Amino acid sequence: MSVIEERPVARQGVTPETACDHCGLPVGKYPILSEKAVFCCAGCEIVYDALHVSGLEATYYKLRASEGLANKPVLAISEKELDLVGLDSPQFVEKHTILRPDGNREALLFLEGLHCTACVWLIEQMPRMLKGVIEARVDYVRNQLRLIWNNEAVQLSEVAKWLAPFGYKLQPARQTNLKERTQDEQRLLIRLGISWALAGNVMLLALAFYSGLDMSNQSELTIAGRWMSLILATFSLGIGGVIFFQKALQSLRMAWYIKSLNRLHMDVPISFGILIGYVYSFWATVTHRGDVWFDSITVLTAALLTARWLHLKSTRLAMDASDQLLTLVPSMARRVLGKWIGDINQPFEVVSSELLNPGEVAVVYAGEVFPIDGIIAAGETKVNNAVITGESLPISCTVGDRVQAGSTNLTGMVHVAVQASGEHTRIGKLVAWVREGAEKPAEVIQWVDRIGGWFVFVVLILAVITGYWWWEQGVDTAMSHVVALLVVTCPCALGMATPLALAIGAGRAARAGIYLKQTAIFDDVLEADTIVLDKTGTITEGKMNIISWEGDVRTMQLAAVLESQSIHPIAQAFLAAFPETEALKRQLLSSIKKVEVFSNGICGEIENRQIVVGRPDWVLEQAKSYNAALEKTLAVYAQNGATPIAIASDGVLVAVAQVGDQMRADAPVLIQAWQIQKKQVFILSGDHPDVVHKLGKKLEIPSSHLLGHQTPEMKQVFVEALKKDNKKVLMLGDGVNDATALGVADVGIAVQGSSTASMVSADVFVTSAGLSPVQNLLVSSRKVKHVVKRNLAFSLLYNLVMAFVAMFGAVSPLVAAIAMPLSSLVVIGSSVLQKTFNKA
Amino acid sequence: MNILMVMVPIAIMLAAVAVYAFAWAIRTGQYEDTETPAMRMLWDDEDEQVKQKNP
Repeated sequence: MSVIEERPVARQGVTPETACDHCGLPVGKYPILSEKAVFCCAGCEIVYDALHVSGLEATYYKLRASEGLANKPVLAISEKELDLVGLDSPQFVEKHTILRPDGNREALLFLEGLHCTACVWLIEQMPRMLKGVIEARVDYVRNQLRLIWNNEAVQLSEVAKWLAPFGYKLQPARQTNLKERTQDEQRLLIRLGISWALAGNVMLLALAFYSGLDMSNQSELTIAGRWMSLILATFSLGIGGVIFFQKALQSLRMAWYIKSLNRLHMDVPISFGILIGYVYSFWATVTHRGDVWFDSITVLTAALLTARWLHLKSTRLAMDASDQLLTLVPSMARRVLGKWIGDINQPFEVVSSELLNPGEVAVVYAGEVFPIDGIIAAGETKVNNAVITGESLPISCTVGDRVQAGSTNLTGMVHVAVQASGEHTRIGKLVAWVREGAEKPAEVIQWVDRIGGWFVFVVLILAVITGYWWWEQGVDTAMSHVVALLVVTCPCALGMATPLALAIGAGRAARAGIYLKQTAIFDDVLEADTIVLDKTGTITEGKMNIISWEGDVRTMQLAAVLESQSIHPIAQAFLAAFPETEALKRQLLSSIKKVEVFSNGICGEIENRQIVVGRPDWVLEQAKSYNAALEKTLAVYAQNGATPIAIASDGVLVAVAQVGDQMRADAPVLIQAWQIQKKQVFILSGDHPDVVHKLGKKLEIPSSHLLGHQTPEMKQVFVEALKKDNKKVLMLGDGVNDATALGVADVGIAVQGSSTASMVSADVFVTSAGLSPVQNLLVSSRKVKHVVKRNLAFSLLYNLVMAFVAMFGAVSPLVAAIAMPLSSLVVIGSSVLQKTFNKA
Repeated sequence: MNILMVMVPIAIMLAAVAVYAFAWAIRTGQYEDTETPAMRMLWDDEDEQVKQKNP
């Protein structure tokens, strides 16, 4: 005991409450002391040193303090060797970076670990610190780094190595269509901006007409104004309107083939109204008779384009995030050279992982992610399949066992006989499947689009009636009233009503940390009557914790030191519960002997005591004496559904602990609320059925709804079966094991901490903790739907009223110029002012 | 009226410049990220300090 107590007073003024010089958290009982500073952990020390060596510390800490983030720990990370090789490979550079005209390279890279202004500043200092880097620009919101560098002078791996000590991880983004998407969006934005500029100018000219400039007085000026408007409107139609015309033409062709009015898209009546207004105004300008409608049609075009652009933008963030899935599997692999003879020291070469063919052998070191699917040919190791199967405990694998791309090789180097690589791997197929999934538009948008044909039909009938009615008054009068009807009924508000309300809803959701990939989700969420939940990581926290323990403190600490030699999840639980372990380990390093890791636990000698930590039956087998009280506690732990752990010192049972995955705090309340709302709740888990039943019992879910030992395929089949029963399934999950089921479900929601794979296949992903965002989604979807209905009702009513007013000949260009934007404004206002997704 | 013959071409030229500037701004990604630049302006004053330490 005395050894430890002495250390903190080794320097004056340092107490356990002293703030760490890097992260600002209390250093605790076992601080790390350097010459000038004191730290809570080795990670902080590394980052602190890195900052000081590069001379960036003053501004960094100042900026960080100004954000109130002084307490956020920044931990250095170690860059894995193979990832770095991958960054420099000619294939990667060729495929994923751009050669600029000046000979430099440019790339867009994902960056992990950004959390404040200081991070942005620090990374953007790179050109000054690292020779060869020309420009580094951080996009804080998207976690992206745009890097321009001279590939001759500096390699990407050096950039990654420079970033690593500060705690930033560079992910080689293998995005395929990121650039195209950005360009599409940019083109639409340019059209939008120009359309608005043109509309504004046409409106200015129209103002002169409305305030009295007409053919009777100053006719020369009037003619000039009309021609000017005509020219501007022509540009507006050519730049903005053409987007609607193209869609309308497509849907007209489609309708012609199928011979169905239902196939006519809403863009048809929109294009129809715009074109009629334009053609008539053109004729009026040339012949100097009748009214011009240029102002109305240009404003209409610009407003509708705005709604379209917002809609495109609202899905962008989620799409960006899905690109990160491609970084899950390492791009490079080690291939054994020549014929494989089973020698573990056989030479190898580093190649792109896609180039490995079945039958070849790959070498995978401990700590690396498997780049291919295959069978272990030599060596043994523990494999963490959490990404693929959701199983949090590592499994031992030896010769003949199957391993999959995306799993992590934890403990030993292995040779793997390749079975599948690249897109043929299980995870590769999943990515392909996700990418193929077509975007389905929201039901109400479909409905609005479907009434397009009827809209045209009704408006045309009304036009014929109007023409007939006014015929006696002369052709000119009849014509102008018909045109007034056609222009004023152009379904502008109707065309904007739904996309705008949904886009703004999705935008507000994103700000609350709920990312929707399709706005159709709002419909599906409301219809869901069955909720399927994954257990690990969804209802529970998804990581092992020591829930409680009993016995000798000192032995527990020593047990934690022993466990720190292992990377088992239970070891992680010990380290989390005893943060002083790291410091303690350094002091006791010399007294740690004969550490052995078994499948049932770990044993070793510390401070001349033989400590055994592990499964109770295994520990008690080796124990010499018994402790009835502690054994009773162990039995209680087992009944709780947690994993019991026994700790023996010199053959005596001295401490017990229960390790488990804790339930999220908000889970019980929400699950009960859903059941009261007559929603059926199911739990599907890869875990043992007993564990699932114990958890389900606490949540009051009927036992027939609790299923354990579920493989990814079983989950998918289960969800499909529910759908066959005409149930609308909302599924929550994380892990790749849920990915396909999430995709099959009507609404798939990936909760915070999910693996990237499920984030991609899910329709929604949620970045804030717990199940409460899901509840937020359920409540807010109803409100969004309400806004949509409100908008639709208003725009239909507007069109109806204006149609009748026009039939009576009361719509002049001035009336249209006021009424049409006003109707759009009402719809915009109603959409913007929606009270959805309020942050709790 | 003749003034129109002068004013209209000037107006068109100005508009063309504006359109070109707008298209340039979008193509070079000026509207891509609207949050990070707000952070960047916070530290421009600090540049000298770093330069002195690392000439």
